Amino acid sequence: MKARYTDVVQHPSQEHMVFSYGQGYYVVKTSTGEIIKQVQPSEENKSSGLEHFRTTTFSKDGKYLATTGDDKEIRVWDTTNWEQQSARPVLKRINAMQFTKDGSQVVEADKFGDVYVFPTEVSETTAAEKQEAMKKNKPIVGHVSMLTDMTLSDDEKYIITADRDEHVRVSRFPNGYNIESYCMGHTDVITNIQLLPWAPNVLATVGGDCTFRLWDFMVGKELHSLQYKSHVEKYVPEGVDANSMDPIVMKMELSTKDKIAVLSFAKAPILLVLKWDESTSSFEFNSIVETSAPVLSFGFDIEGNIWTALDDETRVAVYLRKDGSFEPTDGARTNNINTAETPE
Amino acid sequence: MSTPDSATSETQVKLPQKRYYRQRAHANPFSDHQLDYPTMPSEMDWSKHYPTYYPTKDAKCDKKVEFADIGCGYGGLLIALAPLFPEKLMIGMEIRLKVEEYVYERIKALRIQKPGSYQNVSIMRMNAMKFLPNFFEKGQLTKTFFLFPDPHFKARKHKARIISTTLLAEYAYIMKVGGILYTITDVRDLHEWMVEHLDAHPLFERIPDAECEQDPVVEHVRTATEEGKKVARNEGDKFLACYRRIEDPLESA
Repeated sequence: MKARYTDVVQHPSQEHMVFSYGQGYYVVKTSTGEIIKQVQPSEENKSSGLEHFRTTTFSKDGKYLATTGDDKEIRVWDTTNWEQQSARPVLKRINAMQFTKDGSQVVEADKFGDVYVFPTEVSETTAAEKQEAMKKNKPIVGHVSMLTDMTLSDDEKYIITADRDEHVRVSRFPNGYNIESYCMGHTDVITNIQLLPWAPNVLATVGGDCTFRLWDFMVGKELHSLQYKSHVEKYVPEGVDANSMDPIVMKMELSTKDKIAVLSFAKAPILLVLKWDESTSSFEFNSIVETSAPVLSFGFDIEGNIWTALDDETRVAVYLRKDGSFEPTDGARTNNINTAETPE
Repeated sequence: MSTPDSATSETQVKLPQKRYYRQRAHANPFSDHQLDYPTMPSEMDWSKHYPTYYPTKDAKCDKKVEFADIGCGYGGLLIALAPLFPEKLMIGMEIRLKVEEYVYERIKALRIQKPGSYQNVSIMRMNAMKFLPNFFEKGQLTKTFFLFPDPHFKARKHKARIISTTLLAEYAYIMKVGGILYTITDVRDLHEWMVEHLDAHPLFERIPDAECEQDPVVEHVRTATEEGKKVARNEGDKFLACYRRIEDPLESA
């Protein structure tokens, strides 16, 4: 059995997508499905049994890719040749990270509840020096709860952090000791937050309470809440989560091309598509895309098609953007990525 | 939960006895305690706590809670302050169930014993480390109290301390600029920890000890609580440190 792809992330401007499978990742040219590169940490860098590539993110200009996983290392890769530039340790596993706009820093939110800012360029060379540098770096923001997602505001004056205890906090950046506001309203864990690319003063949040909410985040005011439970509940198996019977969002992606929001859910073989209505400045239900197996991750390619990483033998399936809906395609484009070896 | 104010005529109004409400001093703030909390401050039903001011949940009332005793224990401070600040609403937050029940019964009895008094004080069982923003709006509180907090001596337990860099951001958020944060402990190591963290936090400024002594509240901070009285009996030291919530120096420039 081949290891599944668990994380899909697209280059901000080129037709490259990164598919991670725990021990490594593949870079795919999405127009053709050709594999550009296979990347795995070298033998001495590897710790067996751990997933190195759980969370991945590109810098805004696409020049760098940062990856992290259960090995508690942050690796930065040069995307021109996919060579590892640096690796440094972190204290706790990172759940969300983001480069600053100029690419000079990486902002990291960990499972303990703290946010750290590190320079992208690692000047320390020995493991001991790196440990020292890590210990000296103090968090800029802290929650008494696991952090699930994080984003900087468009002007990078604020940092928004979401946690397991329903809190969305807006703090000044980098002076995170000064909390600006809270977006209060969700009644369950928040799993994903993202600014609307076409209205960056609006924050979209989702999680375990079956609502898709929009906020004027600077003042913590809820602008809209959309209940979507009735559209998805029949697809979610019972007892999916010990704490809740409700569907829980795994990933949210926004497409500027179509002004849509797409959500995937834990253990559910669907994507929920919501469409932005300019006249009401809110989202409404658009459609459900049924997949052959639960969606582990997904992303939009440069043309606005959806690439999904599924939890079955198919592994990757593409849904083409066509007249406002998404249609499954044959396996031609995904043949390479699906036949590729993914050693455990 | 019936309000502390409702009286049953046949009940003899006696103050509750502490020995029926003992609970071990340490509770883990990180575990899920099945707590009841509102989604946001405007959703909070204050009628359960201050029925005189909030006859119903949606009653319009200008008064908002201004003083909060975080980890109020057996309620000694709040019960001393309630008659001194009759126009201010104050609340105690206590994570330990039995202790909270004791204070609840005590306030209930006091409200009956002295009609018209103690209507401005109440207690809730709550994890203040996680849920303060659910109850209080930005800049709402003018006084916050941290009296004889759990020292969590072991290094690996330091993250459970009620004063930490990350929690200070939350306390600063719910406090009004100019509001005062009071700390006191008999554990020197904890006092030094709290002072170090508060000194380092840009939104708090130490109030000189001489100025603290002018504050009528300070005397009660020292002597009104169970813990304070115990320390006095054992002739221990009490280390007081008070801080004022100030504007962000970075933003005022």
